[in-house]
Amino acid sequence: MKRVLRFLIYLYPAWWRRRYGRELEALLEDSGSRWRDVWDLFWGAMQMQMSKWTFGAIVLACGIAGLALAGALAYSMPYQYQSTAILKVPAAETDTLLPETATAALSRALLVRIIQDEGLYLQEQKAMPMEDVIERMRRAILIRPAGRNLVAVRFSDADPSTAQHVTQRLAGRFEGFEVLDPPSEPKRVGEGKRHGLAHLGFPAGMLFGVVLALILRLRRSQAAN
Amino acid sequence: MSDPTLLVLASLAESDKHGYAMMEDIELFAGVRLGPGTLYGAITRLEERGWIGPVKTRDERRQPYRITAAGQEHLAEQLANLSRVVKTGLSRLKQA
Repeated sequence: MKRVLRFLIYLYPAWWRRRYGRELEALLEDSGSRWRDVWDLFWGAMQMQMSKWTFGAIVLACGIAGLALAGALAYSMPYQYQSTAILKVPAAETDTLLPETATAALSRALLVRIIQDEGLYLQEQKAMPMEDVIERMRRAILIRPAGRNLVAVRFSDADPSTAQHVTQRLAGRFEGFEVLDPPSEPKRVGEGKRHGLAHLGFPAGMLFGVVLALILRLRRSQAAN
Repeated sequence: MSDPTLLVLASLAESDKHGYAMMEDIELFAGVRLGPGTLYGAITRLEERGWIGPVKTRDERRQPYRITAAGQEHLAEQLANLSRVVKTGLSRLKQA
């Protein structure tokens, strides 16, 4: 950890390191290093960096940092893929057959089997109860009317081939329904959400910057008195 | 009293000390362990205001600091304020 702490000294401004860097290094050698010193040194370095910055510079820097952080977060999220099959509802049974079959397609037993066969949600299975995993799968399934006597069955997953394969299995549960369009080629979705999240980073960062700059200004004026 | 600059001034009021000695002393008399970033932040601000200054030494890595006359004056003023607050608080507690 001493290495981490020594590295953090480099986050201080150059003028400060020239004056106090060697002393701080000696202090770290003499005192026992603790994890909370990591935050203490980091925050100390940030305060020292910003001590010479104007209000606007702090806000702008936070905005850019927010954009970078939100961008990294948004674009590190796995893509989602959707595959859709279109089924034709047997004539004259639209009202009664669809809800029944949809319920059967989403039955617990069937979903558990698909989860196990396809190796779905492996991380989630380790971290949460099976009921929650099933609920998660239900949220990834969409069964809705798609026109006169037509029903769309859709499954979303981070893996394109899994999305298509599971859609095929779900569609196969609709007995008596004619498959009009087999599961489509997986389509990547959620691009808009990613851009939205990334673009939110700049204003959110600037807002944080305003609060931070006000706190620093208040502290400086308190310290000056 | 948890203002790091006051703690540093109070520590140096006794004798000249380098960073680690201040850290140890403050922990002893105030029960507060200042982190390295907080301690050197306080030292920087105090030196900028002329309330403490470096003492000539051979070991520049363990630079001792000394409280200046202006620093002593500031500390005395702050402690007097604190003392008034403590006195008032204690007398009000007795009345309660």
